[in-house]
Amino acid sequence: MTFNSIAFLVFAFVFFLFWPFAKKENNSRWFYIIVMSLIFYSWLDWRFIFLLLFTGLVDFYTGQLIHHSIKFKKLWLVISLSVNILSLLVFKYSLFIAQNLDLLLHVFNVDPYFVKNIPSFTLVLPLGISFYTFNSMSYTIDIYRKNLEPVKSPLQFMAFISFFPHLVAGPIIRAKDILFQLNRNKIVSQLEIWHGLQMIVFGLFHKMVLADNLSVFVDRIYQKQIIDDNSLTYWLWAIAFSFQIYFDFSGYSKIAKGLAKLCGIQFRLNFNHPYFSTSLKEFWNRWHISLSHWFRDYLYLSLGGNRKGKLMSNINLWITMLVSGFWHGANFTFIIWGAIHAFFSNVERVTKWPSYLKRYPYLTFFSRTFILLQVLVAWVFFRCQNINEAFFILQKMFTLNTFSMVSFKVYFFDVVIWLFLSFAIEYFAFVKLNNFSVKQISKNKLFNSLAIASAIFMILFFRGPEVGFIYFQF
Amino acid sequence: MLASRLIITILFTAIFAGIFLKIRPAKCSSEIEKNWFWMNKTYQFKKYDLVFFGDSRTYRGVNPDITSQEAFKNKNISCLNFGFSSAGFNQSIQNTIDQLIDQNSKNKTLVIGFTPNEFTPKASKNEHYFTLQTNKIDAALRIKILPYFALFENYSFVDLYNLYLKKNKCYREEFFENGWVKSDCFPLDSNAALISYKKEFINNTVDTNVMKSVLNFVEYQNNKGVKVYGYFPPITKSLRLLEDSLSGFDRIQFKKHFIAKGGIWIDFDSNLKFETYDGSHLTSNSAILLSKCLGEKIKP
Repeated sequence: MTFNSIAFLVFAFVFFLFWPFAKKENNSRWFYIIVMSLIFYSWLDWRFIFLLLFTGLVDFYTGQLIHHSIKFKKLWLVISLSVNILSLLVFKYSLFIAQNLDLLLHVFNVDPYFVKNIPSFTLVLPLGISFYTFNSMSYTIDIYRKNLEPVKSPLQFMAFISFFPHLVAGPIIRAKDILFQLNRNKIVSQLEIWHGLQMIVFGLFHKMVLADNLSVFVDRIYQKQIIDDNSLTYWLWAIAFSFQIYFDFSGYSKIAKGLAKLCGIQFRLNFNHPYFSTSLKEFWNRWHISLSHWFRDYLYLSLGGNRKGKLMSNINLWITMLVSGFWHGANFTFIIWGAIHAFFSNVERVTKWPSYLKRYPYLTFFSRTFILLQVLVAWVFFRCQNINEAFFILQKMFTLNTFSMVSFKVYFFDVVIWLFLSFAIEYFAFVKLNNFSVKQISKNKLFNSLAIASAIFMILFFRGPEVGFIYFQF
Repeated sequence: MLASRLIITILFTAIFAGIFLKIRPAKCSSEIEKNWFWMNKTYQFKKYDLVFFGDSRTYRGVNPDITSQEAFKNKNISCLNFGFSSAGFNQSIQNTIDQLIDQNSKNKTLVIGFTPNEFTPKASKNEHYFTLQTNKIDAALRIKILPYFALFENYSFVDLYNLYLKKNKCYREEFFENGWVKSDCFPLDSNAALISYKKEFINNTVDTNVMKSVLNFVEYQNNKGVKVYGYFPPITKSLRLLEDSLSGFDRIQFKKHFIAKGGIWIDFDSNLKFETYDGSHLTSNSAILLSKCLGEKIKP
């Protein structure tokens, strides 16, 4: 079930009805989380509960073995990582691998027809597999690195893996951040309940009002339901998609954080106004923070990071970004998306242009715009199903031609309003971080209640058509 | 502290909602009702004496209650219009239709509105029907709870602008529990559907295998004692010419085969004037007329 569904309303009501009783003891708390989370998971697709349980239990027991073993630590770690990566390869990437192997071997006049022979069960993507495998791998890697001690109870571990707020679409939670929180019966204060509910409301507003309304325009242009061949249309499309994916995903993360808060569990921030970044390095510290930090800590640093000279550092950066792109989906468009980020990040490292521009505060507008432009171009590949479509759209974007006011009134009226609202909300949130008076105003009880009431009003009467969360497909 | 904040928030929300509910213009078509309608139609928990099937020309063109009243007079006949957008005849939908018919009924009847599009490979996927699939509990929850959200109909800014200024065309839909969608569109444009149907048959013409499967299904139902009626939903002459030329569908041959398999064909008096709002779909008055005509032709 999705967070914005009627079924989830009922589920959440039932969950929080019995939660105060279930959370009193460790075992009952963990058991309750597991059972309810599996109900949540199987609502959408029950078939892969067993995969979730299997990979979880493999990591729990290998974690124990890594900790206690002296000679075979690495072997147990390799087994843990292999099980997770193999399940990703089989269920997420097998069709992509088979298609490309068929194509490659066809060049040498060999036709193995791998695509026809792959088992049908591999064609269904288990929900949340990209997220829970990463959660799980962080556990065994941290034990190996001696950053974490293994937990004794499989129930506690499975509660961490299956905890429903983050199960299907993140944020990617580190075992060391959550396990100790699951081990206590935290009394949630009234203020924390309020903040949790606030996060849920704003998350639903981001998703149901902003993202879903922007998706109408994005999908209509993409599916060529509107044929308007001027560059401004496609720029609007790219900007609309940038905000759609941001509010969709940040909305989900906010709801997840709010739900966890109501349970007395703190998740880290997953989005921190990334479109105000003045460099790509900053962007990746603000966008999908849990994923970018996971890749930094478990891939980039494992490859050596920047400890082996400039050349290796840049190679490691490229590998990390390409893998990050590929994590998002089994398609070359995602790899190109990662490559664009790698390229521009490399340019930043070599030229250090953001740090030069930072010296002149009046130039931050230009650096923000330039970063946004790079991110926009990359998003085109992210959204398109294939490379040809992406190049088609980019070509339209960069071919300047005339714009029709008739088209504007008919097609773009809504999207311009939603974009304006999106930008205004983001700008206010960003200014709030850096301006004490604005922060104080936003903390005011009346203002706070007014903001939440406005968000609820918009959700009730201005929500967009029901659209699934974008990151569910990963 | 929490209580006071909640009260203030609820108060503000109620004020905003109250003002908006007072001033908002009525929508031509309710999204919430539409969602409820499709969920309710897809997840049937009972069987029917009289079932209609077809694509949008059927679900907009036939009120099964009127047909059953006309055909069966005062008998207590349960009926359902099981039409879907761009519906086709794959095995899955045939099985579903089979399960909907009450085999214990003395008046078990199936009425199919045939269109060339239904025999195409694209329609065979029954995408509309399959996008509605969810688990039964989820469906039951939506069916039960959605009506309570009827007050919270959603709007876009363009909706508000057009509705306040009464601009652009208004597409009115009313959703009935029996599966009929009472449809009207102002202003009428009998050529509106031509453009979309021209595109529809590109690389998507009638598949003879689908046709064979349908005819076998008709024979199968007939052998089970179900009276199977068929008809071509009334459309404009220009659309009919376009469809026949692009789709590869031979109406005369199909009618012949249908009757040979035990089906009962329904033709309409050429004097009857049916009106469409876009060339393809009947206005509500014409849908009522068609429903009555079908009722006159169905023999209990």
